[in-house]
Amino acid sequence: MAYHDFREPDATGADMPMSTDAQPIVSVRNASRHFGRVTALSDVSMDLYPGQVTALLGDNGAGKSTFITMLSGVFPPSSGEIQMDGKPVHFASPHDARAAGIATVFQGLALIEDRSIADNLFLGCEPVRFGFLLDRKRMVREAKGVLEQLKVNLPPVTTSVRFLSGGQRQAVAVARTIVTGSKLVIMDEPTAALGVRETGKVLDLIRRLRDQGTSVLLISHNMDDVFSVADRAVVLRLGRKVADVAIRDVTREQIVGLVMGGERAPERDKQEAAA
Amino acid sequence: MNHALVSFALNRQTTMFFVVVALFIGFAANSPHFLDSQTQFEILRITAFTLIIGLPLTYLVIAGEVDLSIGSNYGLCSVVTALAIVDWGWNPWLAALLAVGLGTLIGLFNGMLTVKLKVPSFILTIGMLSLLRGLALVITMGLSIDVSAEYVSSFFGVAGGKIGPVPAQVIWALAAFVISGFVLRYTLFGARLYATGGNVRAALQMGVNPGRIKIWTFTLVGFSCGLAGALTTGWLRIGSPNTGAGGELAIIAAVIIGGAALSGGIGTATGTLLGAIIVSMLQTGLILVGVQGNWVQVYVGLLIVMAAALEPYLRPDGPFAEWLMGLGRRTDPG
Ligand SMILES: Nc1ncnc2c1ncn2[C@@H]1O[C@H](COP(=O)(O)OP(=O)(O)OP(=O)(O)O)[C@@H](O)[C@H]1O
Ligand SMILES: [Mg+2]
Repeated sequence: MAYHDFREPDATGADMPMSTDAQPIVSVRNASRHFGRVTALSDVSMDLYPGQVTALLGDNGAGKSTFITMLSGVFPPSSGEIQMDGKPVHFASPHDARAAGIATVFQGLALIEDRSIADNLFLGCEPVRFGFLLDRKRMVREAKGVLEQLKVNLPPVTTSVRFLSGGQRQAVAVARTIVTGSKLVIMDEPTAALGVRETGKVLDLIRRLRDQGTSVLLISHNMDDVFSVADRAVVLRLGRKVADVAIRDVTREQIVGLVMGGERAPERDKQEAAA
Repeated sequence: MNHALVSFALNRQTTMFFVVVALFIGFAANSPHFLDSQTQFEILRITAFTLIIGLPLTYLVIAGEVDLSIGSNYGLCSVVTALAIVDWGWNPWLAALLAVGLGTLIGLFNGMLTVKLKVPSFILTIGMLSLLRGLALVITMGLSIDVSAEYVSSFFGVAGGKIGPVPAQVIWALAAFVISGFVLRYTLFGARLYATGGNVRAALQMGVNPGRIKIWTFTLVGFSCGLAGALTTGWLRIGSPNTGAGGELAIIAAVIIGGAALSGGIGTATGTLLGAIIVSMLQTGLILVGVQGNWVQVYVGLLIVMAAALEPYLRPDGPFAEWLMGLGRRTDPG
């Protein structure tokens, strides 16, 4: 298997020196996912630790979104298993995943254009009274509180998302992860299409989450972002995991090489194939 | 001009309210009988039937689907009510219950096929339009079933009576309007309906189950067709296989004129109420001012085309809004 590790390759290839003392919050074991005849994800295992930012890297179509969509409960793995705190879990819907403490900022942000900021923040986990009445007062109050934490300029929370700028939209999508309070926050390209200032804010938020002991899984094509916040990088290529390394052990060039399938990794392939 | 004022001026409901007032004044000035209370209640009665089916249909359009079989479902349920009373000797209340159940089942069937088998609802319900109308014609052999005056039941009063001068259907429709508006605005179901039609993928990712929402909504539309069918038979004391033929167009017209977007995610109960009033006022008023019956259809059609064509310009982020905002910038010294 085209597995690459800059440290000693070990059996699971997943535990990090800085985290060996901690239990992983979420472990994915040998997950595969097929769409018809397309294999989007093949036998991927990964451990995610509290207080650690893991960058999930790979070229377009490598299977990153598939991996995190599966983790968020939108669909189950075709085979393999997800464990939380050591116990296998089955998410029947994204609601289950959120209830278990996995919050996701999806690629494309998953916003409803013609609904208000508050409605979007609570989409899927709306506070209700008597089981069916929306508690709008609470939504507005909590929305204000959560958005203040983010320190972004936003119009009133009753404004339609349609009127927001790219950065403001991103802020709303990111704020959802704070609403539910999560053990694992997943962000699929949260800084795509953001300016320098807005990107800085998102990265600050990621650091804050990490400092609170939250585990963060960050998908990004931007190496500056990765090297400024991530502790660890996992690289996917054509649906397979090809590397799992500590950021401080690698250079940008090495990571880029791994993502693109540059020289080092294929050499390793041959070595492994020969062995 | 400030933001709030612009959005008020652009508010579809406001625009449509003025259309209603303008039509009312226009007809009143041109027809001596338009202001008769009989005419007014006739308009309200047509509005009522349009609303009983049109409000659930608004839900369905918000959810991003459409049901073209409403007129046929309505007709079939009307026929079945009469059939059960006259041919099978059922208690009229039970007959009505049967019709409502049948309509609901048809709605559920439409919903299941659309969601589970992913048949586009537009095509599926065109098929159902023909199928259900055909069934209504087959079981009656094309003839109307009279429910003669010898059948006595409180049902006929509830379906077709009057409370003071107000037709019972108007009360039914008013109740439907209040409940629908409330559900859309204040309940979890309402919020998820808008999410489903606004962005299915996002709804799915955030843990809303769009399929379930759609099935429920189709079922509700079917239920309302059954209810309208039973009420019609109870009111007119006749089950005609042609009841509601072409009715789907008037109802869809009301919903679209009311501002619901077939692309999903947009629509309100108040909009559909105003749309229904406009369509019924046109249907009644145009004939009163001497327009030949066939031309009425032309005018209603024109109105739908206009409503659809103007929609992109009237959107809150459309050119008209920008123009209004621009006016504000030029006149505001700040
Ligand atoms: N719902 C689906 N149906 C069929 N194929 C899919 C589906 N979702 C993903 N795929 C396929 O799976 C592969 C992985 O896609 P995925 O979206 O996970 O890539 P990605 O790593 O997120 O890429 P990007 O960086 O462009 O976002 C692609 O070949 C894609 O075409
Ligand atoms: Mg992706």
